Amino acid sequence: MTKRAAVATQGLAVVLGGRRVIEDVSIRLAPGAMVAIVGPNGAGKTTVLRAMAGLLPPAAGDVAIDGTSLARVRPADRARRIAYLPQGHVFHWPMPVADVVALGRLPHGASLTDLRPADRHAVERAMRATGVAEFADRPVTTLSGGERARVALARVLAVEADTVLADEPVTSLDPRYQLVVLDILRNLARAGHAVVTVLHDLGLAARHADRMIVLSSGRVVADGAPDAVLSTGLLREVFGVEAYRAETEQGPVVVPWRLV
Amino acid sequence: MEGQSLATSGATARRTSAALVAFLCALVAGLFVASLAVGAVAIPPGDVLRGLAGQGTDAINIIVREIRLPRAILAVLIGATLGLSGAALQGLLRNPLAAPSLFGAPSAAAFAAVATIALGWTDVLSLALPFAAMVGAFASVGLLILVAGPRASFLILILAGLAISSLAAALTSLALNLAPNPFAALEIAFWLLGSLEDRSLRHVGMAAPFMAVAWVLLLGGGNAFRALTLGEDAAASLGVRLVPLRLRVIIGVAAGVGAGVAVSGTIGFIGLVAPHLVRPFLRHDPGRLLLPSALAGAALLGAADIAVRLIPSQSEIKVGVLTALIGAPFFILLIFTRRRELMGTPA
Repeated sequence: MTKRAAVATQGLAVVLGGRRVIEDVSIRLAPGAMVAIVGPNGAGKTTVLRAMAGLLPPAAGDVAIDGTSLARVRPADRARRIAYLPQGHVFHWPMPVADVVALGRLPHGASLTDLRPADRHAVERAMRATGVAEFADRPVTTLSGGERARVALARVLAVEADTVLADEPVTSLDPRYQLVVLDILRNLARAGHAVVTVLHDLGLAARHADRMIVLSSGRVVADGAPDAVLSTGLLREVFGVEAYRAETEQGPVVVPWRLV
Repeated sequence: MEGQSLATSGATARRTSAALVAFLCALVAGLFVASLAVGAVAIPPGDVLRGLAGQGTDAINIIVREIRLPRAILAVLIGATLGLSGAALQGLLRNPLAAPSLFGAPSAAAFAAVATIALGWTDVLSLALPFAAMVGAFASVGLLILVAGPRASFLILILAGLAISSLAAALTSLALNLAPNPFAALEIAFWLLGSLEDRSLRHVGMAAPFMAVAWVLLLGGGNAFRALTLGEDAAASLGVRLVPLRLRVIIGVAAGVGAGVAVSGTIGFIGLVAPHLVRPFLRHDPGRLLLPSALAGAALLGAADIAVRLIPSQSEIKVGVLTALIGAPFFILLIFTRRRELMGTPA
């Protein structure tokens, strides 16, 4: 599978409600890599992700895909290239799980009433990868939080976009499902997609991401391999916590320990 | 194996949906014929058909073609438009309690119509009337969006709609209050009650083009409403252009409701009830819901308009009064059964 994902932001600034929420953010995504964006609440993580998805107009700078500004890409084309998973995993109607996952095929011109074989296969693959096939017929609103999170992820996988942006995909999941979801995303990156996730758990982020970007007050303050980025100094400065960091055979373990 | 089940469950859903549409079409057709047969003079179905073809007695020809036919056609057109408007608004706002009447559109349309009559700008058969009603409906929806803001919660929309409804009602009362003579007052009262009595084919011709525009606009929103099941951001990421979609729904609802009000006065609650009745048969898919909701709306209004002729009373009960008498308790029941989830969602 060849993927040419190349979403890149250059000097990006976004204004929301008159406030400059992010400023001078330059991030170039690479196919095959899993990027974790971390940062304190209100640092602008979601804003960066939404701007990368083409959902927010830049106040300065640009978001481009393959060198073309997203502003000049038709929404339908963009929707096939970039899949976006918002936080919260809301479903407003009690539709069956399979129908919800099939919504991911809308950018490909699929009609829910009559899925073409290619659409059906994409939906099946997405449901299998996330383990939601067993409750494909249940109304999505009756599912538990963990099940809903996986359905939301399946919907995103069904798009089969080369760039996947997931905002807090594991928040409110139990430890097992946190690992399940992050494994799915990492496999996606291994298969050649560019994957970006916003994560709150620094340890999970460090273990699963190839690259870690730290945002603070709307600016990128660190960008690189998790090992290098997660220094105790940075944690003190950005998050205001003393962290306990232990080097293990499988890499560093970082645990927030007490307030500075 | 799963592929099989996905394909078969899709086929089952398609069959159910097709069966529902066929059933509703038959129901609407049956009610249409019944509407031609029922009234002060009961006409047997055979005579109805002869009357339609102009081959009955003179009296039957006139009753069927000139008195009852426009009424039956309007019931179908207005009912369908209201059902479709309700389904589209519910899809856009992702809330089963949304309906044109909750946002003040019909009352504003009625006020605009009343105002043009009260001011002597137009007579009741002029094309200016549906136009004024549409402008009223459009202004109310525009004001609603302006007051509530583009990303308003459902609660704010409902509250703003209530305020706009109250304003339109107060202005209509003022017009009634200042009416120059009892006849003008009577004329105005008509807009408040809502009725299909004594309409002519001219009324049909006046309203139908605008309703056709509304249907085209609203039926085209199916996939966008589906995508909105996931919320606005996810829908936008799937390629839905939210601003044009909102405009499309606002213009569609304003054109449809305005044209309806211009010829029938305010008829409420069809838009709330119709989508609710068909939704469970369509796997709660807000896109597939549109056409069946329109048909259900046509059936509801058709049935209500027959019912008002059958209920024994001194003067005929207005159909708008009947739909409100049935619809409002239904609305209360709907809130009652959904109050837990309504409290759960941050409005």
